[in-house]
Amino acid sequence: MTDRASALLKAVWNRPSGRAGLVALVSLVLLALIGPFLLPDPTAQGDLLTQSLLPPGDGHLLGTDQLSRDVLSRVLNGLRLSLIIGLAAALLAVAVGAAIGILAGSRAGAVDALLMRTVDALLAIPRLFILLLVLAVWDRVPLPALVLLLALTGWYGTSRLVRAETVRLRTEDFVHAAEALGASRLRIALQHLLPNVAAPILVAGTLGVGDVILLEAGLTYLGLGIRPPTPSLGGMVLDSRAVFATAPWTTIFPGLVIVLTVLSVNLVGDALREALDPRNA
Amino acid sequence: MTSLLEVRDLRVSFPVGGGRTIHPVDGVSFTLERGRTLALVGESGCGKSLTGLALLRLVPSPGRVEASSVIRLDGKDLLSFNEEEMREVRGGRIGMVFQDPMTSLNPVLAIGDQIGEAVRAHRKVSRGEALSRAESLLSEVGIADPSRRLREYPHQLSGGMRQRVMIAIALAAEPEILIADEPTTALDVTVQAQILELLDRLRSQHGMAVLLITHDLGVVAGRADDMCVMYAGQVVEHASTRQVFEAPAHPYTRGLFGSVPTITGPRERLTPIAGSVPPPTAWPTGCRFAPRCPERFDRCDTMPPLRRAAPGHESRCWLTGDEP
Repeated sequence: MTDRASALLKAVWNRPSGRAGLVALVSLVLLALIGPFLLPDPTAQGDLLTQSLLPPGDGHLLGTDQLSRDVLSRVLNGLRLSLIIGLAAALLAVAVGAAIGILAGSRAGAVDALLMRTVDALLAIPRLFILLLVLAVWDRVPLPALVLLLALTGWYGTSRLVRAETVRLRTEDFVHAAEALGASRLRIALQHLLPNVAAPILVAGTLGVGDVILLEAGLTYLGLGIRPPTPSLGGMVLDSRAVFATAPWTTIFPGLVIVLTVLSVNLVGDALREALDPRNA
Repeated sequence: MTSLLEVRDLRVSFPVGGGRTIHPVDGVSFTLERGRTLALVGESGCGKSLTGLALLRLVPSPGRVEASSVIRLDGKDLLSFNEEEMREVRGGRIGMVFQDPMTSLNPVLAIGDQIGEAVRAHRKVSRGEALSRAESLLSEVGIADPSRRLREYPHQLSGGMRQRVMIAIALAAEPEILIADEPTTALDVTVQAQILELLDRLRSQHGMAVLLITHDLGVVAGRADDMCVMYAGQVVEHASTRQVFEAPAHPYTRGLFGSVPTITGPRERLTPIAGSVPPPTAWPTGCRFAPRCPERFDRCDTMPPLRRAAPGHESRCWLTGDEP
């Protein structure tokens, strides 16, 4: 398994776009992990008269916002939160999608039909619409609930992908062989089907991280996601839109980090997809 | 003493639409004893592989084993087992080796994990114990350097080695019966002989019974104690392998021998059997071989029972000896 992981990493690294994405992503993750320990408290305020809206320079590398807080510290703390939410929600979404896809794919007939028609129906409702609706009603949604919401609206595609693969695999000889040797349904699903659908799951999961980060930033920008004073990238853009003309660093840097993060995640995801495509092997 | 495996009147039915059903396996009977090899021989579509699957109750849907059939393992009625008990039988008491080792192994799992999985499906052992058992199984089926092979993937092995791995998997829980469905068909001729020798050695070492399913009379010769020749879902000849090879009683069996070249004796033209096996939807009501049989006569319009050609030698033909 570790052989395969390192081979996969190498394959991604050997693609120019994959390498760029990997370098950018690893740098961003390292910054988000280390930064908050070295920088001032992202909620700490200085003297509002003299410390507000300082341009980038000494003391504050990316300047300060209208409440005299350090922009760099807020950006990195916000990035860390974005990455955590993106990773957690994507993992959860992929787990749910894979479980439902394997269940539907390995049970032909009524179970399959019921699950897939449900997914069809869910896919017909825009994700953003559901999220806006729930968040409009649920004021000050707690972080775990936000992650759950993002996950539960993001698994449909994965489940269809996994189901299609499972249906194809179900007729493979090695699945029949496992059956003939007394393997239970669960064992066949976990030991034989899951490892064979790992590739599409990995790609869907990676691209899902980018989607979730973008969604979370968008929702927070609309005032529905993460609430102040918790630093978040979308929230920073929202808070600073009034001073955009006079102090552009307060909006440009968080915006840039959102773009960079999502771009690098998607580059890695696309490179993974190419690397895992059997036609490129 | 009860037989290890007794099959009586095994009938598998498939609905074909319009309320009709076909019986690709139609009243097959045989017994299998410990330490012996029984061969099921026949052309493609004669129902021999389906018979093997029926013994494990793995007939593909929508087919099913008819309730009037009897399958007794050590005297116990397999058809009355529930799904949980059947899973114990599959692999645990009856192991199976499949035709194509290229596709019967999971491409993304290491060899050791696949054998270990088969061990753990039937025994409560740790991962480590399962792996060490896998290693000893690999050396038992004649794979050199088993500790290295354990970590390899199927694509790194040759066809013969993969079939050895399949055999190791089938042996993992020490079954009493091994069903080998065309175990050598996908392999080179030289490798075929090695695999057959391996099966023979394992049979005598473990006292297993082997059900060898094949279309190849050359595979049967010298390997099987007894044989059933199948045609169109029925057993048409049943006797010891020696008896069948010395004096084939059924015209179909004689036709099979006539279409195999011999090394000794004068060089002759092969005589193929005219026509081909009819599909189950087009079986005649009388003797099913009659339309292709060079010796057919009036009586062949009614289905012959198994008749006795010699003691312990049965043949489903009106020309054979007398009623059993």
